[in-house]
Amino acid sequence: MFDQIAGSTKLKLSGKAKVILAFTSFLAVMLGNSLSHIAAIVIFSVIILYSGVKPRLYLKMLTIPLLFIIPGIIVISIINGEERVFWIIKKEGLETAFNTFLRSFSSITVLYFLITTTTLPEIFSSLRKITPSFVLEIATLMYRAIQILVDEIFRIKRAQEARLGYINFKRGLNSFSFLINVLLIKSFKRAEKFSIAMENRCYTGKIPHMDRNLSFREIIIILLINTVIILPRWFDVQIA
Amino acid sequence: MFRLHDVHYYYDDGTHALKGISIEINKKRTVIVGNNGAGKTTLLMHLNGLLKPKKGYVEYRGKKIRYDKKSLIELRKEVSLVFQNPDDQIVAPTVEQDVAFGLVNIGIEDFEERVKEALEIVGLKGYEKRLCSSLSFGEKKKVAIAGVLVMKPRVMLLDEPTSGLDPKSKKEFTEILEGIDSMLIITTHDMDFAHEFANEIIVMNNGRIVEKGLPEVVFLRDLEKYGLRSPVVVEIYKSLGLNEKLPRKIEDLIKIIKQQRA
Ligand SMILES: Nc1ncnc2c1ncn2[C@@H]1O[C@H](COP(=O)(O)OP(=O)(O)OP(=O)(O)O)[C@@H](O)[C@H]1O
Ligand SMILES: [Mg+2]
Repeated sequence: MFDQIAGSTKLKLSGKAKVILAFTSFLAVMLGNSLSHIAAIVIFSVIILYSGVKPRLYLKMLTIPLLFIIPGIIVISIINGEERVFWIIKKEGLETAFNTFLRSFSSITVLYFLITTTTLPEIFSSLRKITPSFVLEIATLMYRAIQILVDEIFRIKRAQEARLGYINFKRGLNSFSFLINVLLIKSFKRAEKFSIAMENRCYTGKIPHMDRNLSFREIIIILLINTVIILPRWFDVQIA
Repeated sequence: MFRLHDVHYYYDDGTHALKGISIEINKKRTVIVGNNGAGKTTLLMHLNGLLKPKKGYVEYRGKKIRYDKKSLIELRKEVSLVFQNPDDQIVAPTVEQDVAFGLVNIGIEDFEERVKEALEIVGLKGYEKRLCSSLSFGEKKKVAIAGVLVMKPRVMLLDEPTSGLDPKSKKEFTEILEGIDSMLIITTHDMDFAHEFANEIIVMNNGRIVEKGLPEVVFLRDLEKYGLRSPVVVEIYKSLGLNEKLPRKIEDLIKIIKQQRA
């Protein structure tokens, strides 16, 4: 789960700052030109690696969207324009393809920045001002319930594996249906315990959310990164 | 603090878990021991109104506990239970959110300092942002204690706070508990801990209270018939036939033995 990685991030920014940074950078990338995109890719890749994501994992993560992007840009470079550069590939198409590639790739790095450094609870908390409280309350409680459930799944699965529950397909199917069964029963029990726990802790319908204001340092960082991304567009500096 | 009058409780499946309990609990460190299924957890859950006696009643500070919603919240502000399994206790996804949970719900919005303080007491400084699912069992137990500690309750009820911990963490937990100012009512299977820690021991067996008193007194009685073993200190003390007063800690026992040899 990405939240495990995000939970141990080395990046010292509040959840709110990270959400705002990702959101504004996303807009900046949409508005920017190709140089903006390259700037965004570099900046966010550096931040992601700095925050403790292993380079190997990051590369792997980047190859996933490539599978979707590459066929797309091949099609674009074939169908667009008149002037041929090579075989059936056209000049104009190549340019558009290159730009499309950069644009999608840079938005993906921004997205990856958010999911590798920011946990869902942090994202929920930072949405406090603009989301109805009951939605956040349900989301937060559900998140906790999922944490417990995932824990439970791993525990049962490990116990089954230790007793050779997945040794062949048939056994595996058997063990899997058993797992689902146990899980269902457990989640009923869980729900009961959960409500006792909430009662025990004086639940009156509130979930704490840490909604701190942005610090001066954080505002500067957000402005700086966005400026760097949008600047090439402003002065119309281009590479292609 | 608490007075129970002929309290009976049976679960929905008919298990008669408490069979007429009448007792007064008011020592600052009360430890309840008893074998599996004796009814310890059931008893604790009666003390802050999580369970309601089927017969009899419970008094807290001279008043009968009332079971309407408002009275219960008032009661639970003062009397908080820490469950045996921390996953049963933790209700929010991050450490900080969970520790602040009770505070926010009784209307205290200004919780950051108090949360920090509570985490420091249990030795989890700097864990605020961590996800609860990424903690070890011992750390989760500490979060559970911090979440109750932060409410500054008059009474803390702890269900087997030392179970599932390694010896080092056990010692650490004992120290954390010793530092707490509130009255503590603790259940445990750890006789050595009970002997060292308690001002008063309550022994339960099969839904009844069978012994109650000072640890020095209760532990010298025969507890084997209730399926319990004596604390190590008591075993050694008995087998050596010492004349001194029964010591609490193993260190004190060693001192006595050394003196005798000299
Ligand atoms: N939710 C429940 N439904 C039905 N029976 C229960 C439930 N919880 C406990 N019991 C039964 O009530 C009796 C007392 O249980 P309790 O949990 O209070 O014992 P305990 O002294 O805490 O035991 P342990 O040391 O194992 O925690 C047991 O016989 C148990 O099987
Ligand atoms: Mg119990």
